[in-house]
Amino acid sequence: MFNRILNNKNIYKLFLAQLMLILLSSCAQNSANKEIHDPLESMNRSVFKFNQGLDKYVLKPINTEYEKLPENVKKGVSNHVKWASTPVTIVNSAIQLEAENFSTSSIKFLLNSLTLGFYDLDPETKYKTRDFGSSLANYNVSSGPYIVLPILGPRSLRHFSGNIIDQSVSNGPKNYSYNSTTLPMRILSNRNTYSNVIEDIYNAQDPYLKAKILYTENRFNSISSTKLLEQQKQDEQDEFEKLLD
Amino acid sequence: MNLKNYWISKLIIILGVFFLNSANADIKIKASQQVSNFLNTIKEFASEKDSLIKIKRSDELLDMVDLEFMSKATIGKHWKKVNDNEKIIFKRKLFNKFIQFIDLHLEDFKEIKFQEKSIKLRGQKLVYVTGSIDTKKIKNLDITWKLSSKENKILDVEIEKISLIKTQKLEMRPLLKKNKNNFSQFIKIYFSN
Repeated sequence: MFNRILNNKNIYKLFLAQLMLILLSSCAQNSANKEIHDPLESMNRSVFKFNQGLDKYVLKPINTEYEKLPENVKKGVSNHVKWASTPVTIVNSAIQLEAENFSTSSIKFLLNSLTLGFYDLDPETKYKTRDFGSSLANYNVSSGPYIVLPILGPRSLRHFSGNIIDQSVSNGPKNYSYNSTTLPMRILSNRNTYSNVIEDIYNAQDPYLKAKILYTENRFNSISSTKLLEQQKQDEQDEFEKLLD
Repeated sequence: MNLKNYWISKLIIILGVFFLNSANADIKIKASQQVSNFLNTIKEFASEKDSLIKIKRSDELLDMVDLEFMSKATIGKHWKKVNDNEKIIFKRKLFNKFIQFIDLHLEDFKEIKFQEKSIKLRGQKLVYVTGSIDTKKIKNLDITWKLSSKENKILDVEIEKISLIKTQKLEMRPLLKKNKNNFSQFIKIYFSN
């Protein structure tokens, strides 16, 4: 019995996530402040360089071949990857008390289950992607330091610890074979979708900084409340009007 | 007499609202046209092989954007300290960077399609044209064009809620800090790629 508990990888994941939450709570940073603290910059830069090399010699050549596949096949893979991660959105929409997002994502998930998510039967209906990192942000847990992970890329500590919890939601310990097929598909599909952005990052004067800025901005926009985003728009409008004077 | 004054004041208000609405509608139509002109010119630029026509198209693009505003917004308060010569060089390099960006994604820009969703006036001086873009690779990309209502020039583009001006500003900030007394050096390093 004791061994069974110890062998359960989810326990380790939860323990690791809890440890990270403790670390996060010790970071005195306002969650509304989207500037991500980067105390591990030199280490992050090394990991970024490693990821860049991995991309250049492994992912980019694979993507060149993947690019040749028919559009419908690529679209199907992209749809399936999104569908497979919908349970995470459903659970976290419930945690964040977003009733509309919860019902929309649940209905869409059930409907697209008929095609295993490879074909989107209701492309008009949209929902916001939610993860445990966004739930933590919703309950004012600070973002923590910026980290660059091997293969996975940029994350805030909050985002990363959320990912560990999300893994337990989407993949129980018994269906690892399922995870082993979706993960490569996700990497391939994302590499293909964002290939232009990745090229732009590599062409920047400081690719590390560019990747950090794009990650931070994108993450802030996807997890912030409408009120906070509107406030940001208003501030920007004021700034633009001042500059136009 | 009072009744007459009452009706005159009502008429003035109605006329005022009418003219204000038609002026606003005019700003919106012009902004929408400017965005479609801009995208058509980009498409023509991307499809063109003749270098002379390419230069002509890039000049047309230059006329549609407010480069002075973009430079001011990205450099921030430091812009005031920059001399005229450095300002000219910076603006030219910034525009060239944009042209290089199109050159890098020629295949995508050749097939770019814009679906307008809404046009909104923001405050007294801004007008936002929102819609989605389809390129060869990415479909249904949210995009917002920010224009000045007076000059009808493009000030900023927001793709998937990420502002081009803001990204540039954040990218330049640390380098500007390092070279705060030497703008020419900053230009040299930033545009070295």
